[in-house]
Amino acid sequence: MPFDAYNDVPDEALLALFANGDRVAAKVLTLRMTPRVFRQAYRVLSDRAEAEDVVQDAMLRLWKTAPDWRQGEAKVTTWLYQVVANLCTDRLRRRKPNDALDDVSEPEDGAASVETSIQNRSRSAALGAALKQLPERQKTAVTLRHIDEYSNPEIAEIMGVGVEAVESLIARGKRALKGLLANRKEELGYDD
Amino acid sequence: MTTEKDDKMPDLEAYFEAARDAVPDPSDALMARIMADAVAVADGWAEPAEAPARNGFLRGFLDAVGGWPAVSGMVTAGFVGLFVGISPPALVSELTDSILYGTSDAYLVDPGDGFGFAF
Repeated sequence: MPFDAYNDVPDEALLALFANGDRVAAKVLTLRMTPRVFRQAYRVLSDRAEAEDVVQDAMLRLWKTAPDWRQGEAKVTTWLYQVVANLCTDRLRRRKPNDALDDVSEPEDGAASVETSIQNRSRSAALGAALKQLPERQKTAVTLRHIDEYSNPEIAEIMGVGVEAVESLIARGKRALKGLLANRKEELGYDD
Repeated sequence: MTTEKDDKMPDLEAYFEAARDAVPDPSDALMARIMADAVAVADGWAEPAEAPARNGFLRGFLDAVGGWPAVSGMVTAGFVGLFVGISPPALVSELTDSILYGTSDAYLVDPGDGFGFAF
């Protein structure tokens, strides 16, 4: 089957294909899953090497579980999210207190102009600070939707609530964020 | 239609985009390691998967008769039987003649007769 033909194949079906020896399916899953879970791990750990270790470990667990995957009972995205979240928590627990890193790490993209880079860092830091002020569930829902780019049904599964509840949490979270960031704009005196 | 209040509200998408851009892309090396893991795991499954090929009729037969040593014994016995059939030793010929045609006298031998080697 040509590589492009896998584009519309659901994640769970790709995992079943891999369990039957289809290595192209594994490649498609790698390209599809890794950026998202890497973002998740990097956001929590703020360390590229540690985030890569966590993601590699999580993907290895996915490969190993492929033959035993019970179709229809879980989604690969939510399963991976939980595994990465647990691995990140373990890493954070093992860190010594002085290993703690700032929530907002240095950007690595040298291509962006200095002005854009500074503005993006400022926005990212402001958003991070505002998110911390939200109730935990609103913060999680907004982060999953708008930064990690999960769909609402996926977020519902991750958080163990209904899709309508997720929509409500995101709406309330964004409303609160707008208020918090508007105040910050006035404090700092910059546009957007 | 936008109001003055809306103009003062921040464009949240710009903030989300900045937060997404703050995270680097996963390295090619990571992608390669993940794929290598997938191949290694799949190779691990392939090894036991070859076992059924060895579990065919021959394997079942060997298990039933006791393995290759038993087969070698059976082959030897088969050749000996074939040889005896084609070129029987004289003793065998006399014996078969006596059974089939009654041309020889049969003897009953009682080795214990006369207490010869009782004590």
